Amino acid sequence: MSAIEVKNLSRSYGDIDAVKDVSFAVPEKSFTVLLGPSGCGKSTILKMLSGLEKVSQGTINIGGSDVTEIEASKRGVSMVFQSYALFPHLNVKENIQFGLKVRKVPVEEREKKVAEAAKVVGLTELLDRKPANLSGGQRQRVALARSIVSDQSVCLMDEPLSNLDSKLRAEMRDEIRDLQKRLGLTVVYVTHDQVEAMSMADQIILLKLGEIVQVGAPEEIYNSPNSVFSAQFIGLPPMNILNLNEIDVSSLDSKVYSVVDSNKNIKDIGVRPEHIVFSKKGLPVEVKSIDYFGGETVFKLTHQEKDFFLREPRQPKIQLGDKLCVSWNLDDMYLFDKNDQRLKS
Amino acid sequence: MKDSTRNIQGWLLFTPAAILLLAFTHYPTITTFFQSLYTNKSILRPRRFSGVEAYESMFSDPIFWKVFVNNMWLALGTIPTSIGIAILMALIVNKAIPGRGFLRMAYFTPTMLPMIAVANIWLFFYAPDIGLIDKVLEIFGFEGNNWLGDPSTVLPSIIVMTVWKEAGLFMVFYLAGLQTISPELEEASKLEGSSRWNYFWRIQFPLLLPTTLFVLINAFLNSFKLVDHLFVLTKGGPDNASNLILYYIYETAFSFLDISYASALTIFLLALLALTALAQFFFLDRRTHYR
Repeated sequence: MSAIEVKNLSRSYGDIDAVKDVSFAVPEKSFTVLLGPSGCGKSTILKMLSGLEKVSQGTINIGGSDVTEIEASKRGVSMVFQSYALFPHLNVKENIQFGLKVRKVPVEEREKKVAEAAKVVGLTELLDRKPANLSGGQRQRVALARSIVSDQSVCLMDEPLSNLDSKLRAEMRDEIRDLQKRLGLTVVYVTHDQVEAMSMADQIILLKLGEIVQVGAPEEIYNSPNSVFSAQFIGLPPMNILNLNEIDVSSLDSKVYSVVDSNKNIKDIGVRPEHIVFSKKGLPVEVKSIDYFGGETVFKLTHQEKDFFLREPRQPKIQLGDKLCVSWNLDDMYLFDKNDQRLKS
Repeated sequence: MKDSTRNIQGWLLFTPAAILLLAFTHYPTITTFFQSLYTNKSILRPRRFSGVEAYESMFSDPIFWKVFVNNMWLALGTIPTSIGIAILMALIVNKAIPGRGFLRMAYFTPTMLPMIAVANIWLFFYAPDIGLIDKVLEIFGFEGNNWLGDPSTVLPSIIVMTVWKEAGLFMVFYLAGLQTISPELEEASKLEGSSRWNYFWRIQFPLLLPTTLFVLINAFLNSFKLVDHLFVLTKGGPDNASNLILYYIYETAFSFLDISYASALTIFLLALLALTALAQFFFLDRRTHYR
């Protein structure tokens, strides 16, 4: 059963369409990530789910009932904001129990819930502190605890990790994922960071300019992107997209060449950096830069003034300016048409 | 640079401000205090030390007590009302409503007018029979009143005018205060099912406490400082019903030429304001959340 079902959702501000005819479903107890570059409408969708933003068109179904016109607090959702939205004059405990007080939950039950939630996120020692005296990660935990005590089965998160440094971000990624599993929450999580999406999501909804580009599990989108946009947005460095008119096609491996040559609709070919290898024959390239990361080395190569990346787990003895050849397997190559859509070969 | 030259430079930089402060604030304050301890000099009698005589006569002066009580009523009548109205106006113009810029300006206009001009405008409002208020009352069949000529209505009339004048200024402070509150706080409390009213009392108002402290001190000082309108409207009358401390000091010093007594009154006012400001700081500071 789906916890959330969105049908033909649109939102426009005057002439600008922020969200265009978006439909998707979020399975119960799953972790769904709305992913896309800034301005793709992901936050607007989240706000419409929460009820803080009006819907121009379409319907939203949460927990089996239509909530499109229902006010935010009655939708059965909780939310973690990008800035955490902690009340600066209230201490951690008051922040966590704010909603419980609003709903007039009896004192004993309130105390019990706050204690439980504080324990879950590891804040028991800090209940008397004001938000100003907490670190970024601790503030993040208060926001999570506030969401937990609300006992809503759906939790919406709006770029909750974007204000943390990279080490803490990695920790919190695990913690949020673990929490979601443990508490059986249905999470809808907005981010522009594909690493967060890849590492946390059960399902990624990839958006571009207010429209859905692709929906699928992380490995599904990574292994079979349906368009140039999907191919390049997921993966770091992104997939190399080579325009057939800009490369020396005749130097390609004969099997690759025959496939490329057989279909006139092919405009670009795509190959992931880890699938390109240095070889005796193939596309002639020059090494432009070398980024050594320890576990892997990323080479920036140039072929007829066209740059692309190669990723190697080893550290081959190659130097800047070396002139070499590269090739790839036919199976690792993706084909795209003139509309940037994937062609199934 | 050597420490001594640094010190000299520091003192040089400080001197202009120090001279101004000493010449126009501290020196007059001290001389006023000494003047209050001496009798007035006249052709017949030279000045003599009188100690606290001037203060004794102040505390037994019924007019002093009257203007003091008047001033307290003025403070009590203007401060809570103008703060309340200021918050309300700030909440209204902080929302994205059509004509927001115009509204903000309209609310602020009374503040930009000099007190004398305000008094002139309200003189027309309060004028008996031909004034705006009496005219409006006439339409609804009520009898008019000589608002400024009646001892029982003159002080309330001045209170209403002062609120009208001050609320706009305080609104600007509250507007600035409101804009430092992240809109996400409102969204978060809305999601928790908090009503607008609850959000105001539990979140907005506590976060506006620093602003309120600032406004409170200013409003209190203003209620003792602002007397310009009395020159236009009532001259303190009738029967001192609208007289205020500062105006009484002015009358005593420059109409009755009783410098000694005026000095005693001044020192009293100064002490009162200083103590109040300190008390407000120490009392409210502890309970106010600063970010």
